[in-house]
Parts: sequence; structure tokens; C-alpha cells
Amino acid sequence: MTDADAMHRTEAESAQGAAPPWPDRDLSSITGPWPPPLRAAAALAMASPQPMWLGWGDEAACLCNPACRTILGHHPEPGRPAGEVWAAAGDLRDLLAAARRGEARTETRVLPIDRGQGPEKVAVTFALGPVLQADGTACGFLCVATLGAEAVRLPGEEADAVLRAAAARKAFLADLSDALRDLDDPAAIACAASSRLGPHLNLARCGFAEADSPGEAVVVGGDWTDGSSSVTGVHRLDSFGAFVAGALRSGRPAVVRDVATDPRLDPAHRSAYGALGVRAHVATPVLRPRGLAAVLFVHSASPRNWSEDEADLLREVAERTCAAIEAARATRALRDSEAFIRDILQASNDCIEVLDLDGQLRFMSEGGQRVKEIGDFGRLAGESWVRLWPPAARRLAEAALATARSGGVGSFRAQAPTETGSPRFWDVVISPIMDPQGRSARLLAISRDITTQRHAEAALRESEARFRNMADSAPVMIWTTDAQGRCTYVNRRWREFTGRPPAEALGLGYLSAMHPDDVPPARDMIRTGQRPERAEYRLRRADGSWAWVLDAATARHSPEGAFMGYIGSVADITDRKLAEERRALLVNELNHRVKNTLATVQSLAAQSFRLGQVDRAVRKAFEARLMSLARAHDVLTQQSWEGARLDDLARRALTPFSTDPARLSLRGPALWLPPRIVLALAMAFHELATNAAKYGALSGPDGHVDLSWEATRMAGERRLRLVWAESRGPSVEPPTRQGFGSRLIEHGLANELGGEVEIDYCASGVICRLDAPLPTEGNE
Amino acid sequence: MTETGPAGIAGKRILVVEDEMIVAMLIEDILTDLGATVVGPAARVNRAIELLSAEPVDAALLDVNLAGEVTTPVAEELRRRGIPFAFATGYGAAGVPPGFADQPLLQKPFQERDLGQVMAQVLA
Repeated sequence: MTDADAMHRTEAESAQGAAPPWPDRDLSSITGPWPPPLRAAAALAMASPQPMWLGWGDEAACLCNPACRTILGHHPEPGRPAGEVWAAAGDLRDLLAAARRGEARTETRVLPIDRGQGPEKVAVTFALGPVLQADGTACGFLCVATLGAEAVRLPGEEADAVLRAAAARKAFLADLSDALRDLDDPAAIACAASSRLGPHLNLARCGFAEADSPGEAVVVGGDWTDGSSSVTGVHRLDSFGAFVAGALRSGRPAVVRDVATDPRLDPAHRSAYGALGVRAHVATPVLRPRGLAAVLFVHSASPRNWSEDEADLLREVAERTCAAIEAARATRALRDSEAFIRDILQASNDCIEVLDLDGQLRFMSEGGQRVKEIGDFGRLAGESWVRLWPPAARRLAEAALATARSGGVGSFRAQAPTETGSPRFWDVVISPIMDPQGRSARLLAISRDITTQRHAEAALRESEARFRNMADSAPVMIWTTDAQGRCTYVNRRWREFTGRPPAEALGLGYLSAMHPDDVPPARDMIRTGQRPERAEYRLRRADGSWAWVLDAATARHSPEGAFMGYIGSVADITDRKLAEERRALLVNELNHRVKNTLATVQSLAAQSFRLGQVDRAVRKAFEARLMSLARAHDVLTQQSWEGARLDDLARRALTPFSTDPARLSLRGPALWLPPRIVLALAMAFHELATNAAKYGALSGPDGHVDLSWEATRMAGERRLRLVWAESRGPSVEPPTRQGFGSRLIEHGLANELGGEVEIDYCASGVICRLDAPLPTEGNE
Repeated sequence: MTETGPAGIAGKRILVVEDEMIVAMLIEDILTDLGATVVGPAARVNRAIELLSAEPVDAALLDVNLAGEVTTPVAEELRRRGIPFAFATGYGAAGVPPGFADQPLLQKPFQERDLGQVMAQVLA
């Protein structure tokens, strides 16, 4: 094509009235304020068949003449910025700036120009010159655009198409990259890619599907369609047929030009594609080392001869989309992980600091600033870390720093106040942060506030010291065990007493100081965990002699209630034991003497009565009384003279008279009586029973004696109420004179017990009532 | 004053070992009344054993404790000789020397009747 042709065509178009010709348009709104030279230049340009345009003002507003249509393909609105109108010529800013300064310039640009057979690349020379006013200043500029002799033509139509396709592809990819760059959501990225690709390739449907982790299925989160149905959802790879699945797995695109005729598709899959209205398609895989990562699919409603260029473009789009999604995920993961670390740093009550190798403080965690009560970290940044410690701690800090600097882990504990002056104790660990080459690059110092722990430790130490002081000054032996019965501590007294070092007592060592006969029960106790509150055993003294000891133990429990073992004290009770033994001997001796004395008295009496020819009845009564006294002593002897139970005493006293429960019943609580009362009551029972046997209930075959008692409490005093009641015996008459028995009961017993006793000679049977105070409890 | 005692005692020679003088006298009186001949009384273990070797004895009544001296050797000697005997004690059954728990026992103080019964049991 020649310039002449172009001219000719422009004229022809004008003649056809395709656009309103200049100067039919009213330019007065623009030209009104124009200086005359500019107005003259505009008139000249408008009339010229050569493409020309006029620029003025700061934005280089632009007025194109009708011939500009040859280059631009249209006639732009007057007054729009030149940079915008001539955008196809590339960046004109330098050129326009020079023109505004009044300089003349010539520059050639290559522009796509469509002369009815698709766009062509044509060289266009822009010649700019200023429009000068009378004072010599520029009021605008005039540009003459020439396609003339300098016009460049590419050789051949094919090459031109290649060039255009490459440009279009480059522009598309650049646009895609721009669109994806700022997206951080994988779904949005997939959507942005398919919504650009679909119109660009004039598709029916396309989408970006990510593969699941075993690479067996793909997930279509969203697809672009020209109005066809969507295929969002999960699709098994094998559901596309062996050909497609196989290609995708091996990383090759599956290209189908016509679904209806492609022999590689089996009928089932063919009809499946048909149902979706897919006639041609390309599935482009993205492979990663772990396998299939994603598939970019494009569908066409009609058979399509996919070109190599298109296949390349799809590969590029698939790769870029996948990379953008991966980058977005990585960014998000990094952001999450950074947020995570930030949260940790903020939440941690440890003060985490980063120093450079010179020991200058570079970073302190938010949590650290909180615990160190630092108002403004900015003031501390860059300070010497060691100098931030109080003078007393600096030597330790310096040493730990040096250790970390040489690759080791330094640590120390020191006191340092917070910035606001609260005293604190810190546990500090400082270690190197390695660079990828394994050299110390920076140092990490972690300071933990252990003030509370130190106070607790100090309190515990003090408490233990107090316990030991107390335990060591105690006059008894003190020990503790753990929950398994192993000794964990013995006090000084144990050491002094046994003459053994405390270490020998630990564990089960204390058993070796015990008498061999006492060890088995002690072992049983440990085995079963059943420890009585008090235990007596023999312990070897330092001089080798055996001591009887009383060991009193109490279980120890933690504040949470867990059993922790026992604590116990051991007292020497040898003296008490000896006294007990002596007392037992004395009691035995006493028993012997009493019995022998009674035997002697009885013998004396028996022989006196023999010689004195005393009445046989008198002699028998005396002997019986003596025997009843002896039996009462028997009861006491059995209890080591500590007393006796009332029922034992009564049974023993009354046995010689009757053992038949039908004749004699005893009713009352178990009641412990001291020896004095035992003896007095024994004699009283004897007299009552003797009387009953002679004249009362026990004299006849049917009579009955009921002996009942109770212990009552009245005004804080314990009293014994006892009733001897006879029944079903012969009719009773009061005695005419008071005999020994009734005297002993009514006077002797009442006096002895400090109580009241009355005998009632009812006709139906004798009733004897006793009401006497009991000694205070304690022996019961 | 005599009374009819249990059968089997009359005519027997009974060794009495008792250190309480008055008690020994009473035992002697009662046994004599019952028609027995008293050997002793012996107040010491040695004396009792001497009497056993020196005189024929049909039965014996043994106080367990002679002023701190336990009469076990006498009991063993009696058992060796096959002579039946009873213990007399103020301690009750608990006072009998070990190994002689089955021997008849006279609980002190005793009544005339008790002594007769125990000796009749020994000689039965």
C-alpha cells in the first residue's frame, strides 16, 4: 500500500460521510480564548490532507485533523490529552515535554495501523514544532505525522500474524500477571485466570482445578462459562477416561479437537462430554514433585483445531495460575506463622531478646517488655546488654555472653529490678543464633522471672531449717518416711540415742537398730502399709543395751491430700516398762499374800471353832463369808486389782447359790467398778443370797431372784442404781431383830459407797435397792 | 468334832507340803479327822523329797509356792513314783507349774468339805 492509496481512501471515506468532516464541528468552545497564532495553525491543520495535530496547555490537550484517522483508525474527540490519544505510539512524555518547552523534535514510532486487512506495524514519524506568539513564546505546538517514505513494512503476512499473535499473547500474559499479583485468595486467583482466558480464546467454558493430595481427583472451585452450565465440584481423574487421565498423570496436556470423532475417547466418556456440550477440549496439567498439582481445562462447543500457540498459552496460564496460588498459600502460611510467632512472643512471660555479636540489644519481645516493665524499648535498642544489668550481675552476664558468642549456651541467675524499680530475680539463658553457614550471627537471650519461685524456695528452706532446728532440739527421736515407708529423715536425738549416723537410718536402715524379735512385725507394717498410731518395740542404745520405746506416727498429706508418708516421734519408755513389770510382780505378790492370809485366817477360825465347840451353823456362816470374800479377791486378782465388771462379780458371788437362769437373772450394762466397791458389793451379794437361800426365793423350788442395775447420770454425777428383787418365794416377814447381813447391807455398804441402801421385806419377796455414786469415768 | 468324810481317804498316808504353819495345821486336822495319816507336813522342797524316800506315801497335797520356792521338783518326784497328788494354791489354775495342768487343784482358802473332795478325787 502506498501513501497515495491511503490518501485516496481517506478522501473516499470523507465522501461516504462515515464521520463528520472538519470544520463542520463547532470548535469555538476550544478556540475561543486561543491566541491568534494557534488559531491560525488550527485552521491550517484542519485543511491539510497530511495527518496533523495541534497540542496546547499543560496536559498537551490535543486537536487532530481528519487525516489522523489514517493512523488512529478513528477521529478522536478534540481536547483529550495527547498521551492518551496517541497511546498506541508508546510513551510520548519526553517528546511532549520538549514541545511544551518550545523545542522542535522529530521521532519515529512503530504503530499498529489497520488498513482494512488487519493491523499492520507501520513506522510513523512525528515532527513537532512550536507555535510561537509575537513575543517569541510558545502557545502550543504543531505535529505533523508522516507515514511517507520512512514507513516500515514487515515481510509477508504470515510473519505479521506471528508477530501479532506474540504481541497479543504477551499482552494477555502481562495482563494476567497484573491481575493475579495482588490476589491472595486461591479461589480468586483461579477465577481471575479463567475469566480472562475464556473470552481471550473464545471458549465455552474453562476453569482451574486443583488436584487432591493423592492426585486421584480434581476440585473445580469455580469455572468461567459463556453461559453454559458450570462443572464445579470434585471429579475423579479416572472419570475422564484412560486417555485424559493418563495424559494428565504423565504431565502431558490432553488435547481433543473433536470429541465426536477422537478415537482415543471411549463411548462412555464421549457421551459424558456430549452431555456437557463439550465438542473440543484441552486439559493442561501442572506437575509438581509430589505429582499432579492442578489441571487447567478449556472447553469448546464446536470442534476446534487447537493451535500450538494456544497449547503453549494454556501451559503458561496453567503454570502461572498454579504458581500464583502456591505463592498466595505460602504468603498466607508465612503470615500465619509470623502471626503465630508474634503471638507467642507477645504472650510469653519470658523476656526474649536478640543481641548482635557485640552484645548490643537489638530486639526485645513484647511480653519481655511487659515483664521488665519497659516503657519505651526505643531508648534501650542498641545499648550494651551487659550494661543493662546491675553492676553486681554484670560479671555473670559478661561470662554468659562470651560463652554464647563462642557457640555455647551461657546461663546465670541474677537479681535486677524492672525499669520501674520492682525487685526481680531472673534465670537467664543466652545462646547463639546461627547463620546458614553455622556461625554465630546473633545471640538469643531468654530471661525468666523466677522471683516467686525464689521466694517459695527460700520459704521452703526456711521452713525446713526451722523444722530441723526444732526436731534436733526435741528431747524425743523424730523421723519421717516417704509413702513407701522408707525413712527420709531422723533427728539429732536418734543419732545420740542409737549412736549411729543418721545416714544409717535412711531407707529401711532404721530396722537394724531394732531388736531382731521386733523387726518382723515392723516389716509387716511396711509391707501392708498398715501402721498403728502407736507401736512399742526395743531399740538398741548407743551403749548396746536395749531400750523399750513408744513410737507414735501420724500420716503426712500434701496440700492436695495425697499420702506422703509418716512423721513420728520415738520416746524411751524403758522406765515405764520396768515400772509396769515391777507393778505386775507386786500385784502377784499381793495376790499371793492376800490368799495365804485368807487361808490362814480361815484355818485359824476353823481350828478355833473346833476347839471352842462352836455351833456348826455359826462356823459354816463364817466360812461362807470368808469364801465369798476370797472369791471377790479372785475377780480382782484376775484384773490385776484394777477393778472388775459388775456382772462378773455378781455371777462369781452368786454361783454357789444357783447357776440356774430360771432362778437367778442378772440384767444390766457392762459396768466397771473399782476394787473398793467390788469387795463391798461382793459381801452384800453374799448376805442377800444367803438370806434368800435360807428364808427367801432361793429356799423354795419356784422362787426367783432378779438382780438388775443401771448407771445413770444426774447433775454431772454418775450413779449406780441396783435392785435385788425376790419373787415367788415363801411369804416374807420382816425380821424381829437386825442380823449381821442386814446390818452389813444397810449400814456398812451404804457407808462404804456413800449412798443409800434400803431393804424392803415385802410379803412377795425381799427387795433391796441401792443408789450410790460411781467414781468418775476413766476406768470403764 | 468329827464328820463323815468321803470314802477312800481313811487309812491312807498323805504327804502334806505346806509352808504356812496355820494352814498346815488345819490340813493336818482335817485329814486326821477323815481317818488319814499325815506325812509331814513339809515346809521345804528338800524336806518333802526326803520324806518321799523315807516313808511310804499313798497320796500328796502340794502347796505350789513355798516362800518363793516352787514345788515342781516334788511334783516331778511324785509323778516318777506314781503317787497321786493335788496342788493347793491361791493363784487358781494359772498358778499350777507348767506340765501339771491336769492335776486336781485345791483353791485356797478352802473349806473342809473342799479338801475332802479333792483328796477323794486324788485317791479315786
